[in-house]
Amino acid sequence: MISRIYNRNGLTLVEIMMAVSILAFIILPVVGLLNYSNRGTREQDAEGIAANLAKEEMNRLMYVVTRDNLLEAEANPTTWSLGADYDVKGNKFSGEFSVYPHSSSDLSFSVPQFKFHDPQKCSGGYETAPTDTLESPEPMTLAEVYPDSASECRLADILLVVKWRVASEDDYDPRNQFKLIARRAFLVTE
Amino acid sequence: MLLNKKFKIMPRKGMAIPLVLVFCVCVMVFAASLMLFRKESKQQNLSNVHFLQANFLAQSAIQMMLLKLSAFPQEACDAGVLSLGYCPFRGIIAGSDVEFNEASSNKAGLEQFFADCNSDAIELKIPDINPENWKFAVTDFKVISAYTNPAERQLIISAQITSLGEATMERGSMDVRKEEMIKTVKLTREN
Repeated sequence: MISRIYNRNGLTLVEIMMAVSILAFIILPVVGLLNYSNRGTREQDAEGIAANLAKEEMNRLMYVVTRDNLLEAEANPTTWSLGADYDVKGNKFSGEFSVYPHSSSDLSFSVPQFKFHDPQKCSGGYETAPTDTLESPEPMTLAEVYPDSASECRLADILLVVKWRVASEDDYDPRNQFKLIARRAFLVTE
Repeated sequence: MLLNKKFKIMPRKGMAIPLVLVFCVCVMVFAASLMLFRKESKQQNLSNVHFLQANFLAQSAIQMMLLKLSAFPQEACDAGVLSLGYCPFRGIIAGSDVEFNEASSNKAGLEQFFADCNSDAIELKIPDINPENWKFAVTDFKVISAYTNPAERQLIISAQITSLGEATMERGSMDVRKEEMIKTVKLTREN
């Protein structure tokens, strides 16, 4: 009752050799790709951590550190608060920041000038001559505004450079780094 | 014979190559998706860093504006009052309902006030950077509300600062990233 029995010969040597060749031709590059991808994933992971650490550090420099402490890094690269070669999941992170203060005598702002007139003429408080009230703005430096503390720094630029390397690397690759730049004002609190 | 009568015995000759080809196609699809995922992940990381750069630049513009407001509070209040249409020398009468009056308003004072709060007017002092890649500016300054507190004889103004940070990242062909930031401040002036 067996309907059909086909040829049951095994695989031929030629067929096996061709199959193995094709397999090798495809699999070997894929294994290399997996290694490359694995390394890439670790690098991406490290870069993500570096971005988070940089954000925390820059927030600290912008809003937490006192003026005197910040200005100690004036034009002089200073290691960030986490120290050199900070370790997260086997990856190493380093950061340096430099501060470039602006002199108050150089900080000149243009200030709107108002032409005085009798306010009683403005009935109901509404301005009667809105276009004539303003004069051309005049420049004024912060040193003139605060003559008693003219030498104090009131504005500084901050440069933060963060670099990273994965566990398998011995040195920091110059490509694995980025900069954050910000300007901080030191407000007068009276 | 122990062969099941119901089953057909299929040929096995010539099956190895089709099987391997199917397997290879699957592996190649997997590899392609892996590469795509990696590329997207890399772009996401670069985008995060780029966002941080632009965001801190926008914060820098706000800092400049806050410094100017703390140095020239009188002028800021006067400009704010005039932008609402009120006389800057009279202020806002206590208890009155403040309504914006287009006919008597002049916003030029506010515009003059924030016009130099940017990285062009006061350039970054950081060496070895391209200033074109790191720019920030206050783009708007407007009064939200104003009233006079009669008990303390104070004019109180709520104002909104809008700033823009622009960072250009050469790495990864990220081009320019712009981030806007809005901060609300309260200005007070003794009457």
